[in-house]
Amino acid sequence: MGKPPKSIYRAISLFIAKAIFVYALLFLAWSYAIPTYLIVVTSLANKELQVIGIVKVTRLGPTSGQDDAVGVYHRAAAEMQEVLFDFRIETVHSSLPMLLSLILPVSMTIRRKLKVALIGALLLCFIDSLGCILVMTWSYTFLPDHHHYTPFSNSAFRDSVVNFLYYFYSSIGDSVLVLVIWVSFCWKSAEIGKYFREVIPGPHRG
Amino acid sequence: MKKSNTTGARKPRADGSSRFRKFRHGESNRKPIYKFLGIFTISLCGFSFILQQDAVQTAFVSPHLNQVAWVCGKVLRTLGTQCEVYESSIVAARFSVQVIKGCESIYPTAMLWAALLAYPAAFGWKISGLIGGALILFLLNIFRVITMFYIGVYLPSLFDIIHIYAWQALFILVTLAVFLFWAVKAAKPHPAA
Repeated sequence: MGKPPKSIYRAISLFIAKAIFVYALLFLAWSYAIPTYLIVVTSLANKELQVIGIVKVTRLGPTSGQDDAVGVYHRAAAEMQEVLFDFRIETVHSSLPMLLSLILPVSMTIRRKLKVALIGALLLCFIDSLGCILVMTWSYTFLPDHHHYTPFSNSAFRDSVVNFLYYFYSSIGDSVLVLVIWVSFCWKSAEIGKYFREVIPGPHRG
Repeated sequence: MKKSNTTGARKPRADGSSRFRKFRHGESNRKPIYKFLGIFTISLCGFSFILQQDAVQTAFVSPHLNQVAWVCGKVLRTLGTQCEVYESSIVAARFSVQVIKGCESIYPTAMLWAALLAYPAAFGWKISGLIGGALILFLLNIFRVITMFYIGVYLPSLFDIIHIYAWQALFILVTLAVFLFWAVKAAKPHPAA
C-alpha cells in the first residue's frame, strides 16, 4: 500500500501558512475598505428588497455616526431619516478577506487569480447583502410593532425559519460559504486539488 | 478582440458531448466534488438544526461551555494566574471572560465532521477522523480562550479585533488543514499517481 508523498504534506502546510500571511495583510487593509464595502452591500440589499416587491419596505444604509454599522431605516418618506436600529458589519460576518486569502496563494496565473477573486468577491457581496436582510429580519422578530416593515409575512413559521438561518449563518454558514466558493473555483487549479482528483475516484484504505 | 460567430448559437463540440451530459453519465471529473459538496452541505445543515434545538442546548451546549471554562481555569491556575470559575465565566482580578455560545469548538467540529462524512474514506478512518479532529479543535479552542484571556489582561484594545477576525479565520484555516491532512492519510493514491 503506497504512502502519500511527503510533498503533499509540504504543499498543504505551505498553503495554510501562505493563507495566514495573506489574511494578515488583507485584514490590515479591510478596516479601510469597510465603509465602501458597506455602501455597495447595502445598495445591493435595497435592490433585493425592492425586487421582493413590498411597497413599504425597510431601507438599509450606512449610519452617520459609525463607519462600520449598517443602519435600518423605514422607507416611508416621513420616517426615512430616522434610524430604527443598526448593527455592525461584523454581525454580517463578511468573510471577504478570508476568501481572498484562500484564493491568492493558489497556484494559478495572475489573470485567473484576479478573475476568480473578482467573481468570488461579487458572490460574497451578494451573500453579504442577503446576510444584511437576514440580520435585519431576525432583529425585527424582537420588534413586533415593526413586523409590517419586513418584506415577509408575519408568522411563527417565518420566525423559526429566520431564527435557524440566522444562527446557522452567524455560527458557521459564513465560513462554509467561503470554503464552498473556494473549492468550486480553485480546486481544479490548486496543487492539493490535483492530488485529490487523482485520489478521490480510487479505492480507499480500509 | 474575441471572435464570435454571427448567429450567436453555441458551437457544438466535436464529440457531441456536453458538460451536463458528461456529468449525468458520471464522466465529469468534477462529479466527486459536487457529490462531496452536496453531502457536506446536507450534513452541516442537519448538524446545525440539531444543535439549535433547545433540548440539545440545555443538555449538551451549555454544559460544554462550563467544561471549557473549567479546563481553561485549571490551565490558567497552572500557569500562575489566580482566577475563579463560575459556570462559564473565568473571573480574575484584572479581567473576566465568559465563554458564550459561539466561543466553543462545536460548530467548527460540526463543519469538520460534515466534511469527513462526505469524503469517500473507509469507516475506520472516518471514526478516527471524527474523534481526533474533535479533540484537536477542542484543544485549539482551549488555547484560544486562554490567549483571549491574556489579551484581555495585557492588550484590551486588541481584544475585539483578535476575537472577531484573527481567531475566527485561524480556526477555519486549522479546520481546513486538519481535514486536508486527514484526507491525504485516509485516501489511497492510484498506483499511477
